[in-house]
Amino acid sequence: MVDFRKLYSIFVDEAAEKIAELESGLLQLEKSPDDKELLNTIFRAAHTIKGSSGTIGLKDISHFTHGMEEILDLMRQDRLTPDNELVSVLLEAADLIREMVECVASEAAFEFSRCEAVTQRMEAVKKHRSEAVPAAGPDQVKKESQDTAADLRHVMIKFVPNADLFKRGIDPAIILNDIRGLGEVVTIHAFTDTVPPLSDINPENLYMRWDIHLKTSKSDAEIRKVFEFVEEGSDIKILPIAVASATDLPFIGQLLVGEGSVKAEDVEDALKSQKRLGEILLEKGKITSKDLEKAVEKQNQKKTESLRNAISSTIRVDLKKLDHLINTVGEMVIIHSMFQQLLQNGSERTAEGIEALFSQLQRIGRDIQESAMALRMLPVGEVFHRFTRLVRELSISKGKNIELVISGEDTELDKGVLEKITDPLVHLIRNAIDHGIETPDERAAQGKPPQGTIHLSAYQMGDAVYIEIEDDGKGLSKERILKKAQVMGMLGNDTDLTDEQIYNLIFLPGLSTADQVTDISGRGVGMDVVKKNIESLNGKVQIRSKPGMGTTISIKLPLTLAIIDGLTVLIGNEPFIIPITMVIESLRPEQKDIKTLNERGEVINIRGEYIPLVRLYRLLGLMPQQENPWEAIVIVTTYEGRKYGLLVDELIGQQQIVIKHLGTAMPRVRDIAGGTILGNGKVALVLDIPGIVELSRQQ
Amino acid sequence: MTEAAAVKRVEEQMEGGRQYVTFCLNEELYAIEALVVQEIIELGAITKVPHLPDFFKGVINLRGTIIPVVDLKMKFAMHSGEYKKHTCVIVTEFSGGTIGLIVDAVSDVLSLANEDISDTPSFGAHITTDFMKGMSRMDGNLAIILDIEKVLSEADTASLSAIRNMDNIKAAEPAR
Repeated sequence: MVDFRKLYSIFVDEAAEKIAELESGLLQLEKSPDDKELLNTIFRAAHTIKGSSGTIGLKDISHFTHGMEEILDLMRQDRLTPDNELVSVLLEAADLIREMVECVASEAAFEFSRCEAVTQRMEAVKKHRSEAVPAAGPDQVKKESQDTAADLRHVMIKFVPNADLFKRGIDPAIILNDIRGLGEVVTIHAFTDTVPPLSDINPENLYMRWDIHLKTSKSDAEIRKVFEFVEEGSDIKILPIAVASATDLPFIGQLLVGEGSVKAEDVEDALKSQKRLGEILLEKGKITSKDLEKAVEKQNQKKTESLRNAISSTIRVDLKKLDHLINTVGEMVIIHSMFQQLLQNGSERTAEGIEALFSQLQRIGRDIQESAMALRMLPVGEVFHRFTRLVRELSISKGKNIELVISGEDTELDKGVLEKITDPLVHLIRNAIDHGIETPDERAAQGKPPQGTIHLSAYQMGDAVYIEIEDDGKGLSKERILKKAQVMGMLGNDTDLTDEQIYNLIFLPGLSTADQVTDISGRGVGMDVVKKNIESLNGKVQIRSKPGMGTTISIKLPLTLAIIDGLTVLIGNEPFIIPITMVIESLRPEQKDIKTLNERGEVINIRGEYIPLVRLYRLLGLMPQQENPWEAIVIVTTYEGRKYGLLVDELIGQQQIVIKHLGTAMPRVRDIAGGTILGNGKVALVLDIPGIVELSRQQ
Repeated sequence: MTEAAAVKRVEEQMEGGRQYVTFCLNEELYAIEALVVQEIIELGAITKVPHLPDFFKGVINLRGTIIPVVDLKMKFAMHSGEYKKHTCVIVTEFSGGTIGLIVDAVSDVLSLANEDISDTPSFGAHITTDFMKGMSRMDGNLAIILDIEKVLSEADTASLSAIRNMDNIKAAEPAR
């Protein structure tokens, strides 16, 4: 038996890829409508979805995609020009297909009635515009067909085949195909009501019958000829049917135009004034604008989800990377056998020989480690390109004109990092559209080009990847942030803040959702969550802003989550690892530099700067080697723009470590990020600095 | 094992009996279903994880994977001394993941038919029997059959609440 689940899952993977192609293609098409190669790519993507859904019996998806494909085909023939409206319809159709595919994946039922609106719009566009746009070549073909249109007649062929058709070795599908050769088949309806339940089916019997609506110039006798071989025992009726208009357009607008009761322009006007369902309901007072906003919000959330789902649990790997890995593994196998030979052959068992082989093995081990890690790396473009759509739609809904410029899409990031960075990026881009960039009028008034730009770029520097979101909008208002923070009592007496510290205040919970947020708010993440997410990846966020010139948010991320540079320290006699990205410096303070506040909090004076001292042994419940900070080591770290001194007993050294999860059965401990296995086989814990700072604040 | 015993075991399995791993905690005999046991390893170096209740001894390195280990004696509030030569870790898998159980010694793997297992008698309020599946007589000894899911899910709830009120870590220890 065919395992349909497996087939479905293959289809879902393939379709997701094709839909992504379709979407990014359509978005590009809007910018370069004359790109024939692009059009072909889009067409092929739609065609593949149609084909593969049809093959595994998902007829509804196949049928729906077919409508899309037809429009794309008309575009390929230059009979339709891809403009804004057309692309919008096609994008909506692509969304629907994505939802259908998601339903297939989750084995849920998709309501195909939802497609009708889009299908109708697609039909309308197709019929309406392909004829409205006069093109030289195809037009002539059209004329010819219209010339002969007068001779065409509509017939309904009722075909009730003999039940033993199969036994005679005749495939009814061939006959149906032949009918196609006679003219244009408008509809074929297959009746399956006569098919008995599966248990009673005789596979050699044919139980179906068909009604075929044919538009042809052929006579009845000619039609009958097709049925020559099956006529015996079959019931074939050919009935003429009357069609109101000579054209086969079922649209009321067209009919009205045809009968001369309205002008074509009026119909077009009416079509243009058609509104979205939500707007109509709103006007009629059926729903409040709040309801609508909520629903739109939900829709947006779904879109965000689909952005996240874009990264599937499988990974596509460049064949070159895989080949390299396999090659190195091959090398390792050779060294292994060399080792074996060396050990068996007594005379060659020298220390030098073993050492030489071992150093080779070490090199290969490093190579394998590197190429295995490279397998997890994905180009950021996979995520970036999906934002084009987000920017397009959001800017339209906000009445702004914004272009998203993407650069560095080939920069690679660990799949795990990429997955977790998608949400924060969505939020930051939304912010830039919503609060950053002004409306075209406002921009014009300031002498800026009416079109705003969001620059999304990625690049690698050292062992970190930087992602920057740069807008040329109005920038952050220092005064407003300060005022808000003071009102909310977040500043205390601390008024002497640098620009950076002020901008970083918007990452505090509560502040970001202050008066700057308008109606796209409520998306569930604030700037504080953005910052948390990025910090959970061992990353950093920075804000630069110039009033009137725009804001740049720069995210620094480690190349990979799994391997980090760590500083090994001893607390008591236990080794712990601190991620080196969190360490500013380490020092042994002098006794006079340690001060207590209210006999509780301790601070340490580092070159005139007082920073809080966190006694890690106390926090972690361990016995220290030294109680006195001046006999121990202080590691200076930074979190949320402030410095903290962490007291440890000894500094062991710096090394690359592989971070491992402590196991799902382990309850989560806030100040531990994970563990790693040391050279002696023992587990060492990796400290989570943000968690530690937060814990220490509570105490 | 003699041939006869082997035959007997197969027969028992045919009759729907299940296999159990038995182990000692101090002088008492306990058993868990063999199906949930992944492997039994020697006790190696344990790394203590802060803020967890005492019976959560920490984490160990299981051939490159880190797994948490629980001291069953401490979990059951039994007298717990130094770890000895025979102390070992039963690596089990339950719905929450993989976890190691520190026990004094593993004694045997044997089959028990369902009728060999009797219900846990009630001991009154001061001894919880929720995590016991039943009891069985083995070579004149009484073995307590543990429901590993219940043993460990309770471990989780106890420790989670401990984390929630960090200040009361000591109080959150199982007081059984």
